[in-house]
Amino acid sequence: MTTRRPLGPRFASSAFAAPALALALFASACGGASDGPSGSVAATTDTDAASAVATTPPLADAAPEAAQEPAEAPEPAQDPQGDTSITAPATDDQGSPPLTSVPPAPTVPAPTVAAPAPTEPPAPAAATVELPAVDVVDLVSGDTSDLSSLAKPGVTLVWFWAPH
Amino acid sequence: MQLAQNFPEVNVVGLGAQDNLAQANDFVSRTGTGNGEITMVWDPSFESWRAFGIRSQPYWLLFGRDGELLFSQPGSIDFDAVRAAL
Repeated sequence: MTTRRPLGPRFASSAFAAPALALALFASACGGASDGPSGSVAATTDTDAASAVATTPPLADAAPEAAQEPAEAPEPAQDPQGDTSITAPATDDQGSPPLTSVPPAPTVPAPTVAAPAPTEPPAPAAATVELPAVDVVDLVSGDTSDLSSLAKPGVTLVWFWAPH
Repeated sequence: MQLAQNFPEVNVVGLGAQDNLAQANDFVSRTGTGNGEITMVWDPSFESWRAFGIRSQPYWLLFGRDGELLFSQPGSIDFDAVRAAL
């Protein structure tokens, strides 16, 4: 036997009266099969209803969101000829390049190598007089040297002399 | 030596022979030819003179820029011949 406690005027006038009442009726129906005291059931019903009210968003508040959702969703591109195939959003076409694309290598100007200037043909080595390979004494330094090593390019004069 | 002073671009080699080294050094001192203006050497073997066919002194040989023999003369050096070779 279940005793229903009448709801107060403040609760009945609140915006949560309808859903809370529905939950309370549902709880009463379930509680009817039990043998527990009705007061505890009523108290439980009130608590459940209050928690349900606190956690469940009001229908009036949720409805506008549901109504606005379709409006915010981007409209799929419509093929004027009736083609219903899904086309990629326009943002995908204009987004970043594909990952597989390789950026072009920076063009580095090739170092310019100056063409070698045409070189003049080497001048022929100046001919030197051929002096005999004979050991002689250098009268200035006192060293012995090869006479042939004294030959130099250009005009050469050999003067023969004797001490006496 | 006047030759070296007048023609510094000419390579002058004073090639002595005969006698001995002491006399050769004395000759260089007396003539003032050892001041480095010309190259003064002495050949104790006389081989160099024979190679050139020199039998008397003084004697001089003048070679041109290409090494060719221009003058082969006994006696004093002809400065005009040297000037012409330059």
